[in-house]
Amino acid sequence: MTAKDFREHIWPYKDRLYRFALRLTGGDVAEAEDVVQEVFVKLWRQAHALATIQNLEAWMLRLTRNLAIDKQRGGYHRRKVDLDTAPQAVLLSAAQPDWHDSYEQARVAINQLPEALRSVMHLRDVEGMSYQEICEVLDLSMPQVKTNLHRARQRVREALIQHDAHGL
Amino acid sequence: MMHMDYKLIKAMLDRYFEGESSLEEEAHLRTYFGGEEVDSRLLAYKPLFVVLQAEAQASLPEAQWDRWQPSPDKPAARLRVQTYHKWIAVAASVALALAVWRWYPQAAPASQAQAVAVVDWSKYEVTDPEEALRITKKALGRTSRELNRGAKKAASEISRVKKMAKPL
Repeated sequence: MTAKDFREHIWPYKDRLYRFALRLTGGDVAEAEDVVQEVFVKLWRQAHALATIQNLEAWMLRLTRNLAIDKQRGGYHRRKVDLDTAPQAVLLSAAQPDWHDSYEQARVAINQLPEALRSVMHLRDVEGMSYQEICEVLDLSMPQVKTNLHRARQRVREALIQHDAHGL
Repeated sequence: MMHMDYKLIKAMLDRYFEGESSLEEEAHLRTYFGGEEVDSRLLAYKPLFVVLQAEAQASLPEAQWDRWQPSPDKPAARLRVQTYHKWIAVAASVALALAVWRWYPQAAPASQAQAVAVVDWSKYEVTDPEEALRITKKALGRTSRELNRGAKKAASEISRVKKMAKPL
């Protein structure tokens, strides 16, 4: 594969990968750009084998997810709260001072979801992917995807209602 | 009209939060909440859909391509960085090995000197037979006590393991 082929066939996925990386890095633009860059470098290295991959888009999104999670765990830029394990109440109360308005609050509510829920909600609600496509990206069964999506949206709904009830 | 819209949208919204809505319904919700006329009873949910729609527009700047543009002659910048990382790791390992090697020869003669130091045992030798008998009895008594203590401990551990292995 030449650089020209790469640009024509692989590069167009950049925005989708970038948005997924942004979601997984909690909106850190620099880190998301780094993740996408690493994904493309890995793809370029394996350019000769890309033709054998059945669902290239799902494969690239999975790679993006793995690299973003690795970066978050490694704390490349700054140590962050482990959103997967911290109690939800602590996260909400800790984040409240940053809630400038209801739009920011909605963004925070999504970004504070555990990674498994956040990923599913992102792929469905931002990328508009079908359940089957999400199953392939996240390597989950259909019931798992549906359960995670239900939980994610319920948590966001609770946060929105809580915010609204407080008249913030 | 607004009342009909409310009922319709509310039902769709409930399906959305239950994770049962279709992609078409979700698109309809985004359009509704992205518009100006949102029923006041549903305003709490508007930020969520507006934020999701805004996030779907995020894109990676085209200039990123120039940052690491791959080609067979000119590999991506990150590849070179990773190569440097490998060499740094190798250099660190070599430095550590040299440091250990340098420290060890200094420490070894000291321990050897301790090992070959001559001890004059004659001054500790017991010459009085009664004193020798007393010391021997004391040593045998201590050995006997330790053996008994060990046997008791072993018996108690066996009993504990038997209790644990007993079916509930």
